[in-house]
Order: sequence, then structure tokens, then C-alpha cells
Amino acid sequence: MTGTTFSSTRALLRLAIATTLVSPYLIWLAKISAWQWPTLVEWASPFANALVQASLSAFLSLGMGFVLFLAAQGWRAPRTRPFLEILLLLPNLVPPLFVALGLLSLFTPWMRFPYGMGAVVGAHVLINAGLVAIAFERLVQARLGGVIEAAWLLGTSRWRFWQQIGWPLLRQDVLSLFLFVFSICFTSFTLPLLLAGEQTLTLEVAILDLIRLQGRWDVAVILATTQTLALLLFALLLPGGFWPSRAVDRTVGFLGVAGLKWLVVLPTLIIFSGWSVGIVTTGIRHWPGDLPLLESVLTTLGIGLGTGLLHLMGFLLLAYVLPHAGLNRFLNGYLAPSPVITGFALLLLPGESEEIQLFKVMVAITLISFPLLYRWIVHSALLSLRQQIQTAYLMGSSFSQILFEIVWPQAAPQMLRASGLAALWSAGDFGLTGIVAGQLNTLPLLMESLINSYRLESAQLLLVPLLLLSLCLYGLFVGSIRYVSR
Amino acid sequence: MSVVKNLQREYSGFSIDIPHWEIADTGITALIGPSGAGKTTVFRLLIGLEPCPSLSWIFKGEDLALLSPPERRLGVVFQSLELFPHMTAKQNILFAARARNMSAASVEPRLQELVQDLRLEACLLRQAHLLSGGEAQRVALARAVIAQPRFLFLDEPFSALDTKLKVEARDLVRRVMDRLQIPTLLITHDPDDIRALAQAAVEIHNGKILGT
Repeated sequence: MTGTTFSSTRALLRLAIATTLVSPYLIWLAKISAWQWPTLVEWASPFANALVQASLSAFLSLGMGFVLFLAAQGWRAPRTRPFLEILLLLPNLVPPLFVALGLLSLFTPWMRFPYGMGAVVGAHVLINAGLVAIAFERLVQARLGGVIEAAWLLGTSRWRFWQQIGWPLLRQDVLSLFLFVFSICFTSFTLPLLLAGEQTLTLEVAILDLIRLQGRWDVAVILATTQTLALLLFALLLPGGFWPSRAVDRTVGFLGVAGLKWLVVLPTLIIFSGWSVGIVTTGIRHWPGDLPLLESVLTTLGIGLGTGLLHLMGFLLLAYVLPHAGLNRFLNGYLAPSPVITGFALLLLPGESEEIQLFKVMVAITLISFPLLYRWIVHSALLSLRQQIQTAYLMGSSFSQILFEIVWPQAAPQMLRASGLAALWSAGDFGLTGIVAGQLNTLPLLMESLINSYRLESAQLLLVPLLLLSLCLYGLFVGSIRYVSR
Repeated sequence: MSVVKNLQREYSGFSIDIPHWEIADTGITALIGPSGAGKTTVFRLLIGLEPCPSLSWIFKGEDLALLSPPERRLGVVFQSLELFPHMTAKQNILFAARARNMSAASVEPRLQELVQDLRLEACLLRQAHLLSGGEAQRVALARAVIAQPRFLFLDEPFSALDTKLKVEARDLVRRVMDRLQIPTLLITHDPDDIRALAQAAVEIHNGKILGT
């Protein structure tokens, strides 16, 4: 391949990637012939609810995350670090359905569940606080590591350190981190659907209602576009990625508060105790043996595996076409389209067979989670290889030589980890699957129908196979890192 | 002589303005100047890592500026060396040979010569991230020259070494370059590099060539 053909192929692929990511909007643009603007009542209340919900969720997640960061630093022994990271990230790794069921189970034996904005915000905080704590740790190590050591030796108090050094230096990063959590919560679909109740209508649920109940696709697309543009605007106003490329091992333990150290278990404890209390109190007598469980397990496995592989292929493709400033800016600013809009866009595409429906589910979930996982996990790995790729390119290396000898051996762990997470999340999805392929039998869809028919105990029991299956999928991808690294 | 014309580029608050520059197509030419003079920018523009639409670089009758960076077939040793950390020293060197589709028969004797000249025997099978500064610098040089580039760029190649290692490294580089006869542009701010290696030196200041 000559240099010119090589460049053209990459340029075409870059265009194809960007087009695929925004394809839900393109499908809608092609389908809708008459447009009507939403009335003030139709958009103002859901938009305000989503804004308040996401702002509160992000603000409280950052607050709780900061406390968890201080608590985690209270654990001084180095051997506890990997364990703490898993503990903090666990609520973010399990499917949102698990979190929702955990909360429902925790409350329902004692009182009526407090559906509404508070429940959604609470669930978001439980999910994201640990992630924020890890992000704080990386940020502090990378940006303040040396300064902390100097301040520590000078005898500075913790309060003075944060007030005069930490906050001024981290302000921009904290804003980016806020935006990251805000974006996740602003477009959150599963939790508002399950926990918001009837009084609090968020934007995503309003979009779903507009399409499913009223058939007003044009208004729904306008609302979803507004949502994406608002997030894009925030992303452009704020500085770039918040996640430092690699952890720098510096002494930040000085900032830890030993008295808080047991708080690190709190989010995981709340979620898992609710769920385990439910299991213990009901036993297995509610096991839903009347449902097609084997078929559901296999379909869920297929969705997880397929989605993980789609992500992996996507990351490899990106590794081929990057570094490229324009695409990089797009990927770092672009947030996934509304899950509802994506789901219905794929539903509109032809193909009714079960296999095609399965494939559509995988594509829909990939369109939603790919940009997020790229920014969160893969971007920094590819960024750190930029110089090496440039060097190899100057030597005249072919695409395959760069991909398989430079990129894959070094970025495979991050790509596989992100693909594993995608597999894990997709196995627990019921919102998108319900829209794209509602007739399929998957474990989360069975659980949703059980919850809707007030069989909460049976739904709780189904979480056991779902959790095992999700962990197997994650383990499959992450476990293969060992073979790749050899 | 190779002739560089219209090496000109505007940046915010800084510009490179070299309308005409003749670089020897034999031996080592040093480009010397203080920090911020534009040495590394000139290096990046010449190898094609940054666009310079007006540039013409006639080397042995061919305009290299019309070629893409890989097609220019240049050897480059970056200041940060940029070895591939997950590969051994030998794999790093052979990577460059494979990139240029060198046959195994032609690679092996050349590798042996370079290993001997650059004293790489002891570290050849060690992973790049475990090499000492001096070893990494020698491996980077071997990687840059194994595929017989038409021109070699050395960007502050000794800056990370201590005084004793610098003397040793300059000696090795001179020995290899004398044997390989690859025209080289050495970018440096260290007068000792020029005294030890260069046949000609060009001074750059504020993005302009001052003279030889």
C-alpha cells in the first residue's frame, strides 16, 4: 500500500467511525419527514428534572467520592490497594439493575420505597462515588504528587494544603470530573425508569414516553438532540480528559483520614446488603422455575460476548486511525446519543429475525457505551503510544506491523478490560434490549417483567445467575490479558 | 550538497524562516543553537512530522518534501529515544529492518556489525525499559541506521547521558558513522558534540539560520 492510499484508507475509516457513532440521528433524519417543535410544557419540565437530577448526582458523587478518597488513603498498607480499588469500583461495575434491586430490597421489608428524584440521585451517588474516589487518587498522584511530599515535609496541615495548594491546582480537573459524572447521570435511563416513579419525569423517560405512548418521534429526536448538544457544549467549555494517563506512585497517604477508613465499604455494603437481605429472608422458594431460564441465560451470554467483541474491534480500528487531532477531539467531546433514541433508531432498521435482533441489541449498546469506555479506559493508553506510533511510522512500518507489534501488545490490557466491562454491562441491560428486541428472552428482561408483576423476590433470585454470568464474561476478557501479555 | 528551500512556518509568537539552506550530503552537520532557537521545530519540519507546504528539499536530485515521512526513508534518533518498551533491544532493531522489508540474509550481517560497533552484546536480549541510558541511546542509534536510511537525524542524542558516558557515546557514534557514511544532521546545544563529531556546523537563532 502506498503512503497516499494508506492515508486515504485511514481518512475514510475515520469518517466511517464518526458516522457510525452518530448514526442513530442520521437514521431518524432519514425517517422523519414532518417536524414539529416540542411545546414548552413538553420539554421544560423533563429537561429541568434531568438537569437537577444530574447536577445533584454529580455534585454529591464528587462530595462522597472525595470523602471515600480520604478514607481510602487511611489504609496505609500497600497490599490493600488492589482490594480497595475493586471495592470502590464494584458498584460501578455491576449492572444498574442490580443496584436498583439492591435498594428496593433494602427498603421494602421496612417501608414503602421512596420513589422519585431522591432515589435516582441516591442510586447514582452509590454507583459513582467509588469511581470518583479512584479518579481523585489518580489526579492527586499525577498532579500533586511532588507537591504533597514537599508540603508534608514542611509540616503543612491537611486543611491548609487543600485550601492553598490542592484546590487551586485541581480546580480544572474537578470541573472535568464533574462533567463526566454529570453526563453519565444526565443520560441515565435504567435507574430513572425503575426508581423515578410517576412524579419525576426525566428527559430520557420523557423521550421514551413520547415515542412509545404518543408516537411523536420528531419531538423525541429534537429533545434527544438538545440533550446531546447541551452535553457537547459543556464538554467544549471545559478542559479535556480528567483521567491521567497512568498512575504515578507518590506518597499521598499523608492526606488520608484514618478515622474514616471503614467508609470505603459503604456503597458496596448498601447495595449488596439490600440484595442479600432479600435473598436470605425469602430463601429459594420463589425461584421462577416457570420461566425460560436456559434460553435467557444463553441469549444474555450471546449479547454480552457479542457486545464485548464489537467493542474490541472498534478499539482496534481506532488504534489504526489514531492519532488524529480531529477525531480525537470528536471522541473526547462526543457523548453517546440518548439510549432511547438509539434503541428506536435501530428498531426502525429492517430485520425481524431473532439473530438480527440480537445483533441490533449489541450494536445499540456499543453505540452507547463505546465513547464512554474509550474516554475512560482506552484513550490514555493510545495517547501514551502516540510517540511510538509516530516513530514506527517514520521507519516506514506497515499498518499491521504498527497494530500488532506496537499497539496491541501494549494497549491490549486496556482494550480487553474496556471490552470486558462492555460485556458485563450489556449482560445486565434491559432498557435498550427491551426497546430493540422486546420479544427476546434475556435474564434482565425476565427480571424486569418479574418486578412489574410484583414478584420482587423472584427477580432478586435471578440476580445470582445474572451476576455470575456477568462476572464470567468480564473474567473471559480480562483473563485473556494474561495470554496476550505473554 | 542537499538544498533546503522555503523552510518557513508561522507559530503564535514564533516563526521559522529559512529561505535557503545547503546541508552537506556527506558527514555530520551540526545544527546548533540555544534553547528555544527552533532546532527541534526545524527537525520536525524536515522529517515531515509537521506540515510545511512551501518546503522543498532536493537531495541527490529528488525532492524529499514531496514524499510522505515514511517514503523519505530517514533515520531518526529522538531526544527521548522512543524505544518500544515491551520489546528487547534486538527486537527494537529488527523492527526497523522489517519495516523496510530487508531480507533476513542482509539483516543478519548488518546487525552483527552494529552490535559489535556499538557494543550491544550484553544488552541485546534485555527489554528496552530495563536498559541503562547509555545502552538505550546506542540501541536507538542501531535501530535508526539498520535499514540504511538516506539521511540520519540525531536530536540531542546525548543530552540524557552523564559526562563520562557522553564521551564514550560520541566515540561510538563517530566510529559507526565513519563506517556507514550516512549524511547526518546533528541537533545539539553542546559545543563538545560539535568538536567531537561534526564536519560542519550551522547556527540557528530565533528560527533563522545565522551562518556556518
